[in-house]
Amino acid sequence: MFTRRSALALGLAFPGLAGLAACGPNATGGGSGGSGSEDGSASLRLAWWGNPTRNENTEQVAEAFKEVDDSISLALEPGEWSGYWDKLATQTAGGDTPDIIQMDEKYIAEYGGRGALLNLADAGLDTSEFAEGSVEVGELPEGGLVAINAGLNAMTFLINPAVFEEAGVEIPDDTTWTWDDLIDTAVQITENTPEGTWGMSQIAPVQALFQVWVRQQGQDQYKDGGPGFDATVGTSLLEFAQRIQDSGAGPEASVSVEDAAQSLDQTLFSTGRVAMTVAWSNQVVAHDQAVEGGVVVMRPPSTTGSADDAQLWYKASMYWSISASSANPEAALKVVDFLVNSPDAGEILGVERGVPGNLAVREAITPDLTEADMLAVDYLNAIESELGAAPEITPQGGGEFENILKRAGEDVLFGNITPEEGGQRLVDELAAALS
Amino acid sequence: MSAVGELTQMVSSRKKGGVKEKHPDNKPALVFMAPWLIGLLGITILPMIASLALAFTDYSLLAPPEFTGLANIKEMIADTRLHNSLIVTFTYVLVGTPLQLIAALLLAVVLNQGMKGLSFYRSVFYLPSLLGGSVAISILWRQMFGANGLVNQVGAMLGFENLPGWVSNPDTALSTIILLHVWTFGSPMIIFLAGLRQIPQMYYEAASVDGASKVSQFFRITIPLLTPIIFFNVVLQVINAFQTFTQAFVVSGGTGGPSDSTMFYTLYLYQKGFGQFDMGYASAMAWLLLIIVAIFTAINFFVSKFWVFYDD
Repeated sequence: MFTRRSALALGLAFPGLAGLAACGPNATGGGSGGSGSEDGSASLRLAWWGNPTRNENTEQVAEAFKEVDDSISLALEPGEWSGYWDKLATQTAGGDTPDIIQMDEKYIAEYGGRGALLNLADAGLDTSEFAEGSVEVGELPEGGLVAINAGLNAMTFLINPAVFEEAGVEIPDDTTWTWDDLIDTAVQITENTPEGTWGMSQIAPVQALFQVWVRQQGQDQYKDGGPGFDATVGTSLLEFAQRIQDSGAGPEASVSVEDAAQSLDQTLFSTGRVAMTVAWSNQVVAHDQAVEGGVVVMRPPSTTGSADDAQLWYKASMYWSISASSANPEAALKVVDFLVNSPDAGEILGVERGVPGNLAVREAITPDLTEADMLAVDYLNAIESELGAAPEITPQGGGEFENILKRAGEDVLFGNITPEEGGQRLVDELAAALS
Repeated sequence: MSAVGELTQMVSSRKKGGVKEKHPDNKPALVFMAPWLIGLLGITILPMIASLALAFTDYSLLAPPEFTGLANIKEMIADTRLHNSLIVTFTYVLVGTPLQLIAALLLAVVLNQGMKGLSFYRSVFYLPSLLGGSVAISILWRQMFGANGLVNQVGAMLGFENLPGWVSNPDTALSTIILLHVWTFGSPMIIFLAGLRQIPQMYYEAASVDGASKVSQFFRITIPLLTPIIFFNVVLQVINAFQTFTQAFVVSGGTGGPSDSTMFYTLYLYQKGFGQFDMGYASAMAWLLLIIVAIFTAINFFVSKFWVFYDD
């Protein structure tokens, strides 16, 4: 009985112990990440999260790297998003971090701010070919360039033209539409289609949309390491969520909750039951394959009815980082340099991790892209002149905001709290998570 | 009882002998026990001690732990989501466990009627217990109780149109997980079956002769004589239920939603530790759970004096 009860403590304490054990070697800087040897050969571990397509192209790129430098061998560690961060956290605690890590914006400060990532600028990574603003998104005030952009992203509205056609509704002009137009269009679609089909999915509690929303109100998600928005703006977003639901533009709460938990190809949007949703631009290709007849990519609406005020921004869809405890940082740097700066690597990777920030690579791969790939590339090019200021990097603890927003959204939609209470809660809970 | 008795006898006989040659067989025994012993020490006892130490620290997994005294405990007292997770877990334990045990007992009684193909049915009914804690069944559950799931399709056939999604509604999500728990009645059922076999037939024969009905036989003979087994099952299942994790994690997609309605204590602990890099807090939570389970078990043992009947 004793062991049963303590099974839980066991699961917890195991990494704890490993952490204590790791204090010694790490503190003195004696890493044991990869094995280096006298003749310059090295074996490095490369970890990423992804999907079957990405696993395949990463394996191919590792194969191609052999031709560049066959003294460096790569051990590949693919993973799934959900388990990836738990694993990385425990590995890091145990002093067993992979040498090269695929990083996400939410966790840069978490790891980089605690000195777990190498400063790539100091290590001498060449970033001269990168588009303006695409390198800074990996810089921390305290850690420097701890992560290099592996691909650019922007927030998009995806349209399923088949549903529009079925409803006999025109696709609006995305350079002039407003949030009211969005609701009106969606309501029309819901009314002109059979029951069980809606104009839009419940997009308000999606973090990407939240960020666009607050930016259009002249604020942002984060400011100076704290929440960058006030309760009024939070409330207005949650009121918008309620409006989507009450007007019939989108489905009711329980359907939305279920929709949000589906895998990409099983959502209401992918199965043709809603006409509009939001997504990141590197998910355009996957959606285009999932939706019969393909998708149309549009800008999000704006409050003023002008795309210049849409306040979009380029987000790094993901990054490459090098562990600060890597035994062989020079070799790891070579690999990262190959991944982001080599057109050969770019041709293998395509735009699956987002559109390359390196302009030379982008140019080299453009002729070979598929039509679906081009949807994303064209969109990024189209919005370039309309971008707003770059947002602050998610501070430590900010990774939790996605859940905070989701919960507040659910509570409002199920009628447990008012949008006012929800807006206040967004600010309070985020502030608590960041402290 | 008898095992304890034998042990006491062995110990006392050793004492009487007063032999200097102490436990000559211990070394080989230790060697044979080593795999288990090392496991117990290395992955249970030591980590538990470490987690007790970590409970008083701020430990982000990435940086060395910092001692913060009682800060975690103060935070736990003020943490409303933690209180909510306790309510969810207590509801689950206090509703789910009795229902599960009643289902197990009733089936055990039915299966004990000496029907043909008993071992087949026993296996079939035990199957959910093997599967219930698995990820696959939890996913299946989520699909079955979804808006377009099997349950609603059957409902539609019976004329109940437009039923909501059960797992995606805060009012019903926890009930579906409790139902999953009840469904895994197999292991207590097997134990009940074994217990039922121990009840001497003569009591029933005597009762029949006296004209007692089946129902009163059940309440006057079966239940009283089965109380030690019931007690054993209650203790075990309560401890198990407190630690439920997989079902909640998978059915809610790891979120504990909708709106925290399936936020089990263990799930919240996991989110704190691995999602929010707050392993110190998570360790403190783990110890609180240990204390809660210990208290529940102690209460169980104390109350057992008043209702458990040992027939010896």
